[in-house]
Amino acid sequence: MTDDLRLLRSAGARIGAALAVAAVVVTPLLISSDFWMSVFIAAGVFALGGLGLNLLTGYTGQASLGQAAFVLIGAYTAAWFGADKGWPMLLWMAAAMLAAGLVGAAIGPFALRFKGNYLVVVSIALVFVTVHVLQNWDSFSGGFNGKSVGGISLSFLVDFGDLSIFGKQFTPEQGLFYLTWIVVGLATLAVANIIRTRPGRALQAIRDRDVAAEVIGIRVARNKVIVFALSGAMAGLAGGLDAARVGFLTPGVAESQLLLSIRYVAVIVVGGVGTVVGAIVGALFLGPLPELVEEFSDKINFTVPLVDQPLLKDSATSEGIMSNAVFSEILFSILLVVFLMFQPRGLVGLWHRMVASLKRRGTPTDDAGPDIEPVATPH
Amino acid sequence: MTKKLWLVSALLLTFALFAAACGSSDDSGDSAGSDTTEPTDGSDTTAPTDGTEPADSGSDATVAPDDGSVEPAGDPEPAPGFDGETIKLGYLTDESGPLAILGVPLTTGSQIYWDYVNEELGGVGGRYQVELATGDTKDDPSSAVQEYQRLKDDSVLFAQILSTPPTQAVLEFLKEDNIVGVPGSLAGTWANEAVLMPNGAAYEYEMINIADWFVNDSGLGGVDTVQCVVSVNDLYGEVGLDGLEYAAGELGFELTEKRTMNRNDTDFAATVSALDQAGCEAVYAITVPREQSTMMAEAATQGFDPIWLGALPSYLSLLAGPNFEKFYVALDNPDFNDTSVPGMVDFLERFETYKPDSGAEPNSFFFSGYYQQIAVHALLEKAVELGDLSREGIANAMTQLGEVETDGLTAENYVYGAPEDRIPTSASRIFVYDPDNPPNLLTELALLDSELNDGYELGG
Amino acid sequence: MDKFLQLFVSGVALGGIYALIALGFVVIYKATGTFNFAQGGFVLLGTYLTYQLAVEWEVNFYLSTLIAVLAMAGVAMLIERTVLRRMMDQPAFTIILVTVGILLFLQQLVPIIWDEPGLRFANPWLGEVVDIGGVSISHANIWTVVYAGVVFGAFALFFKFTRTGIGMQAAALDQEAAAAQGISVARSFQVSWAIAGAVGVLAGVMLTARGGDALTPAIGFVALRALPAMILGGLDSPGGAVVGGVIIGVAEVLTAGYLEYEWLGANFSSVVPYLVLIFVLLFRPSGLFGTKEVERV
Repeated sequence: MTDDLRLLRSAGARIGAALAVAAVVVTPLLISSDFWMSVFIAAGVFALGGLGLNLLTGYTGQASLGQAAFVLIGAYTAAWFGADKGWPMLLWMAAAMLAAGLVGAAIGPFALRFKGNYLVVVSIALVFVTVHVLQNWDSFSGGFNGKSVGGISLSFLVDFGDLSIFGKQFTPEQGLFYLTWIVVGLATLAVANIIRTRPGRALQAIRDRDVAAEVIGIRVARNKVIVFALSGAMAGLAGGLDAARVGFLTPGVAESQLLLSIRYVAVIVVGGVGTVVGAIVGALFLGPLPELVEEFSDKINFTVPLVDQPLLKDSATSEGIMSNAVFSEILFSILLVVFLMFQPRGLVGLWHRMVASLKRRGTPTDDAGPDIEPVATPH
Repeated sequence: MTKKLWLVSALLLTFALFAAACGSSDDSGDSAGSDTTEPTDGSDTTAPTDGTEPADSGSDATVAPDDGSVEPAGDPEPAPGFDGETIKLGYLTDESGPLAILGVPLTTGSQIYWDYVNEELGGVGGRYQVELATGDTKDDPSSAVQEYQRLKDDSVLFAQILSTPPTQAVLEFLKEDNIVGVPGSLAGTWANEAVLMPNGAAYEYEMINIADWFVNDSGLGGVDTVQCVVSVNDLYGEVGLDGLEYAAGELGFELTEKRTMNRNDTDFAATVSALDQAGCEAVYAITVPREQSTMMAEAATQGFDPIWLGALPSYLSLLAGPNFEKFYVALDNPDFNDTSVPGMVDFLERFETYKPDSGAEPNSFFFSGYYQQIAVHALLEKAVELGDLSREGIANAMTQLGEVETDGLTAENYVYGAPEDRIPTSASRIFVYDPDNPPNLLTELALLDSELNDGYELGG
Repeated sequence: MDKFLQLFVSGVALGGIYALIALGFVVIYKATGTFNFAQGGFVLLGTYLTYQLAVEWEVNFYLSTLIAVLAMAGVAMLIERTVLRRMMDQPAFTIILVTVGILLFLQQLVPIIWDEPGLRFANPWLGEVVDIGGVSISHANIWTVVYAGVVFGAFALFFKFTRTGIGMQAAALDQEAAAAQGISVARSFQVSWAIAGAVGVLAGVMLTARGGDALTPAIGFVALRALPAMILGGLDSPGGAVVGGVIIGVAEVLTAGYLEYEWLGANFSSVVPYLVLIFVLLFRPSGLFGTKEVERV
């Protein structure tokens, strides 16, 4: 118990955690729209996959564009065991984590041999191969035609698919929202625990200089394999939850899955590389972005002076410069580039800087948040 | 001490909010939904409607005349997607993904149809304007579900769901919410789903028709012609191939070489070489347009010059070039220059009037988007007539709809109803590439409904 | 045998396109030590630009290509000047991600400028075929190989004989030492990006010509398939990029033509480049012709 609480070092962090818990509990009570629930479930899925990626990239310095592959593996494993075989929730979750974790562990040794640039390409290769396998392994994945995830169990202690508390009946979307964010919360605790203990420091030593880490007695190989497995497992769980949300899986094409991987990376970049809550912040910021643009397109829209046309296309008249989807993609790409250029520590870093400057004006203190290093990929 | 304070305050806060929210949460969803109302623009579309031809309005009634047996009901009550004045339709299409090449013109075609209804007929039932709300699925189930959730509380029905994976993904949700959806493809697979309203001929029938035509009527070949097939790796390719294999079995020819391809393939050297080596004289193409163009170019390179027999999605006039000379395709729509088809004359006229400013030429995809809405229009008219635009009302209207007249725009009229009462269309028109017949660069050769179609079970 | 030769020739032509894209990757890798994912954006935007000139504005096809080459060189230099110049001292993965962001940005420009989701980009070679010893080769394929050869030749000459080229070689080896010798590192970066933008256009135009003139935004993704070619040849070797491109192209086409096992799945050839890549890397981590990296503690 005391250990758990030691996770939160400052009063600010404790208040933040309390607010986060409260937000998760309350949001479905205030919002009954299936749409917004679905958007926030998707954000939770991004957060979960991002937490795993942050462990891998942010803390251990292993560059990867392969996160979507683990998400896919987890999603299909969940569908196979949860929907086809009817396994209970905890078991299909475990299976999804195990499958994606094992593939992650299998990638680990490659990371010993390849670094930086090469590792990026190996991770891209993983996406291509995963998509190819899922496109063709009909009996497991349904092949190109995809696979239904209907009837997957969401119950452990309570049925999240048909949640009823104190006589209040929740929609399936609201139930899944609770489930997803409970999982995100647990994963956050797990990551925070890993980071502040000995293994976490070993990972950061690997990031900063892995040959040197070896010299001071850190078993680089073992640690890399473990972190790949952990990161994969978390992405796998994220995939399982996303499968439950969407209800139908297709392998898509490798290129679109690669774009999904890029989204996961962007989540941690914008949120804060190498910070525990970075993935959550980034996911909440980037995840709902396209849907917000769609939803509020008429409020965002304005007439662009020089060309005298509205910025966003009206689907009725086709008049305007760009469609909503193009606009949100542009916004996304600009955010990614701008954060990398000017705020490599992401929103969390920005927050810490603000807090620090406020504190400087008040009582002087050295609590400027965790030590964040930009991702280093030694050659 | 601080630990305790933290825990207690968190708990207190949580429960306070929980209690506060419980009381007020029940109706918050509806208000969130109605925020999305977009400004009505139907009335200010200053399209030059030629009001000089009142006689024309008679043939404009593309909707099946009702039996007259139903007493006109009262005005429909407001319902999700209907505020008492404006009917909103959801469109789940691909605006920026791999199928944008189809999705964008399809929506434009639909918009043209509804512009016409709003402007010239005064809307559905002569009084309810129709608005379109589109969601971009990127041809991906995940985005499709999200866009479905976004639009569903503000749409009376989904008048277009493009491509199979998004349709499969939202089907469960449609059933659960009892919302009618119009799949933009795979009429055959969906004919048995009560909430789905398929359009046009199934790919299975298209392939049976074109095979029957080729072997028996075309004069280009017979059962002894070496026939092969290339199909795309997805459900469309699969069902098309299924229909073709059935036809081959019935007509008594072999498919000598069977190849598959993926979307996004860029190299067809091996495919073409295999077809060439197998001595294929006719190749059925259950493919998609860009990849088909690439394959045709590779065929030209290798000097492989068979007869191509394509399904509807394999051809797009925009991407067809001089090497398409021996390209035949089975379509639903008539020749774009066939003035004997009243529906086609209307289409071209309305296309001219309501088309976007970009100066597009009519093509099959605009056309498909347009004519698919005729059935939706008929359904809405029926629902208005029955005085109920709610989800249940529309589902009910569908079971009573019956035959929808398309004024010759489809080779045959679809008869709607409960799944067991439906009679899907099964006729196709066969076209050949003709660069001298713009805009669609096709000339009609035949209209047929193969006798074999009766023996083929859709979705089997 | 005919089939083999036919497929082999086709593979070489496909490899030529991969090589052109890979050359763009290599030149930037030599200068900056990272991958430039924006290469796909250069391919895409350059091809659409050529289309605009040649088809919409009816400029001569070859002249259009040349103008687009120069224009994309300019665009690439602009991107280097405004974004990448500020990122020089950042870790490799950060720079990779910036180029990914630029790729996503460039990809969105196409639907903004060219409304139509698909276009027909007629090239002068469609249907033109020569027959050499029973193997028919399209003019488009010949031009692809010619372009790849010319670009590679120009590369070699440029790096060997021009002041800027030699400077770039030096800067690639050791930026500080080069700067001390009076070589402008900034300038060599800029030239690298210009070259990358230019060769991207050629690759895209040839890819479209090969695709029966069908031009859609999907061609931007083909650049990803050239990544294995680049790594196979050795990240910093232009010659290696050409060899790597041809190997990958031939491997892809031959697998599609000969390897037909049900369990490998449809379209197995599309993952072949990556499998070849991993296999080669396991035995030669620096590729076939690349410089060995030394890790410093």
